[in-house]
Amino acid sequence: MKTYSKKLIILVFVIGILFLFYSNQMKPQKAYKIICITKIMDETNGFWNSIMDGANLAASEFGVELSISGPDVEEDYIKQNQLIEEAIKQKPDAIVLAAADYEKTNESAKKIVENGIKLVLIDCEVKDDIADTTISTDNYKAGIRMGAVMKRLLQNEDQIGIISFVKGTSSAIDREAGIRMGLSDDQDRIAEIVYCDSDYDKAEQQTKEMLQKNPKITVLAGLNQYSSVGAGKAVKELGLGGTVKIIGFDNAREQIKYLEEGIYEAIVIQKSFNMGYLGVESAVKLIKGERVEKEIDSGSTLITKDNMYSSLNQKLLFPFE
Amino acid sequence: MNRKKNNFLPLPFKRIRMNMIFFFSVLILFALFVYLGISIQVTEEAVLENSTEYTKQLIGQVNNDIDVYISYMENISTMVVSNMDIREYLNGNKLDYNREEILRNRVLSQFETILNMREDIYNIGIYGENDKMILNRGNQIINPNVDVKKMDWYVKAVRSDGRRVLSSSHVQNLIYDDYKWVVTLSKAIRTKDTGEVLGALLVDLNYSSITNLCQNINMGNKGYIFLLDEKGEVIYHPKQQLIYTGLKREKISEIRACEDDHFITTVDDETKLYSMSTSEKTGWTVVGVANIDELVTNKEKTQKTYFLSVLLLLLAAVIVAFIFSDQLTKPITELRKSMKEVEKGNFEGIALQDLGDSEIGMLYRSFNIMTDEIQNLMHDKMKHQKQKYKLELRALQSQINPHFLYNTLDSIVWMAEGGNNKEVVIMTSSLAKLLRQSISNEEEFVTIDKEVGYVRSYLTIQKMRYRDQLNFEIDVDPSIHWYQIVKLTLQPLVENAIYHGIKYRETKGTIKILGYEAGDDIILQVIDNGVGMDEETLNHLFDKKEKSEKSNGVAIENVNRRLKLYYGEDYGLFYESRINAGTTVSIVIPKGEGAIQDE
Repeated sequence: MKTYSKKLIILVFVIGILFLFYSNQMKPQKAYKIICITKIMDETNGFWNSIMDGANLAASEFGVELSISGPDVEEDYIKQNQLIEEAIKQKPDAIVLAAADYEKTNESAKKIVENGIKLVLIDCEVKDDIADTTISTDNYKAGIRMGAVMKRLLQNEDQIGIISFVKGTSSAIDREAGIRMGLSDDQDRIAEIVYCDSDYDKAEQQTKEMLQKNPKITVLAGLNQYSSVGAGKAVKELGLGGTVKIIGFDNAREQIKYLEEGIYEAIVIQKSFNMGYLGVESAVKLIKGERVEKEIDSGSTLITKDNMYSSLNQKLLFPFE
Repeated sequence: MNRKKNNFLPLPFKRIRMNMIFFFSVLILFALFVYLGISIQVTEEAVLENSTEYTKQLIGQVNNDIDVYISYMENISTMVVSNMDIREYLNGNKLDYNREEILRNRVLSQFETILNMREDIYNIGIYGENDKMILNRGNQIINPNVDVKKMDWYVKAVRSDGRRVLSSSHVQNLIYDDYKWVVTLSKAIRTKDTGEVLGALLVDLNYSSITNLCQNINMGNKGYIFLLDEKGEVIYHPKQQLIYTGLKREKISEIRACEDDHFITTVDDETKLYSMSTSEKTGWTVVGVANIDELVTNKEKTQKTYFLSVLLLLLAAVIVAFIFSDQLTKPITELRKSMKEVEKGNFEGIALQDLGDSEIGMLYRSFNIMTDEIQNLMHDKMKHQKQKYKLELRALQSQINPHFLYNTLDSIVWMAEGGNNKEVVIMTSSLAKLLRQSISNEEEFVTIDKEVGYVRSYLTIQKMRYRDQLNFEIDVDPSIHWYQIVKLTLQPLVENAIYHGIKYRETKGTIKILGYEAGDDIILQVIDNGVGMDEETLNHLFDKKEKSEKSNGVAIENVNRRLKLYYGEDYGLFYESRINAGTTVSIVIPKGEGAIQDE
């Protein structure tokens, strides 16, 4: 009799556990909290708007509670570090960070990891290899694309000028290296490299000086939005459109016009929407404990005047309202 | 004994009851899960059907809305295209400046009316083969980098024989520094009489007014609506950026290949219902994607309810199985217990209650009959055995020792020869009494009086034979004279007392026979003052092994056994003896007519 009741108890117990297990499955999951800190909060900046659109779409798709913040000025790492501190205090599950500075954001980024918060870096890296994953344009690859187009444009004794942005930043270094790779045996034609510190006017000024100083320079590469726009402006103002060919980077409204006008030969655009989307998606995966690649390429595309209105490219170039 | 080979299924448990519970449960579980599966299936199918219908209605509505919207634009375009002012403006190479200005202003005012009326129209404009153009409010610069006559909308309008052309969603780069996402409706402007193409009309529809039609439809959290043009290119998709950048794919080829108006497919481990509705007017296809899990809104709830009820039913079933199996197996357990008792040889109180005509009831009855039968058989057998034993023992007992007979007769002869007539008479008559009693075999029992009389005769003979050695006294309470005693019990004791006690005395010995009642018992004692026995001999008096042939112990043992057979283990012979002092043997029997009768 004793064994009977023992077995009955076990049976009831098993059924009970089954039931508990089942009802546990029914419980809705708590929404993950993710904070995204950008380099800049600027409504006119298509690149960052697109990143935020991507992040927001991912947030709604994965049911994430997402808040986005960022400094008003792009290089303001002090403000950004403050934002990081504040974000850590809110104890989110993950922080998606576009580091304002390779070195000066490093300490704050470390604190994120030390507080047990998943760190996803987008667009830019920091000095130490601490991020759970980094999502950015493969700048080296993007540089190769630029270099390959430039190589085709070179004739006779043509020389190359490069308008870079902030000296020493990883993206600038990688893009430049990529261009050299794309140029291969023509890389010694690079006459000059200048750094505009992400300033339109400075870029314009430097380009003008460069072109006036060295008339052999007929191919220019702008390594980011500021460099490219400045270069475009300079070439247009000097009336050198068609003579001096520019390969730009990014797709600001200004740049699209230059591409249409023929001031730009081509532009390489980043898939910033992807960056934002993948940033949040990877954060969710990390929180769930899924495996995520250490480095993810959000992709880039080369667009020329001829194919800028192709049904696919126009969708990449022009943001939907 | 050869056991039959067990050709039943191997059972998981030892006890029938557990097996019953187990199989009940398995069976019920199986039945319940079948029920669960069918119920959920049926419910889901019904809900899915409803949902599919509902989704179709939704997307049909969206398509309708788009059609209405486009129709409205078509009306506008028709109105503009047939406007005589416009025809004249585009046709008139020979117009003077003033006339041109007048026409232009009239057209512009019409455009303005339209633009003011409809905010969803971004651009409205005409462009002529003669490169004249009027656009919106007339204050915008044409993008210098485009050749209007080579633009898609223009080329197609001119080529399509007066029919309106609807573009897919695209960026309109007609105006300088203005890149808007629009859907363009264009139509050729022709002369009224010859049908010669003069130019084309352009109406740009705000892209978001189309997408709003799709966005405003609620398809659940994970459902959405998207729009394809006739070439299968995406006009609108809520995740269009992901699709364009290659992060997501949409099942466009499947949609185009599908002949039905809906299909079900799996995307990222989720089952989705794709419903399509293609407009004949626009050639666009509205696709509604619904997550089946969401469609069947109460799927989880339904499943949970079903699952819960299954669990409860199962629990109830198990409990019922326990109770039921207990009821079923209880009689078997009872039977088992009774059988155990029978195994031990215990037949008392094992009879099982009548359970009617069920299998178990029949089993019970058979068992009862069987045990009764066994009991009777055993009883009979024991009775017979006892009877046989008694007979054997009595037969032994009733034989008069031939030596004794010879010696007695010899003594009589000697006494006759010696002329002791009186003594001869006494001895002979005593012998005659003895013989008569031992011959009368019919009776098992005799009165104590008779038994004592028999012993008296015997002792009389012996006293005459051992004249100088033996004396005897008989003192039996007359009150016990009429009680019964097993025949031939006293004599062997007396004989034993003489041959083993008195005979070895050097002087005259006395044998005393006492008879009295003690409570419910009657005690007859044979007391001699013979040589007696030591402790050892006394202890082994009834042991067969220790008996020597000459000691006649067999007789004593037989008497004892007979007494116990007839009266029970509490009765029999009880010896007391001291060496050189004598032996007392007591016969203890119960009072009563006779003894325990054989049952």
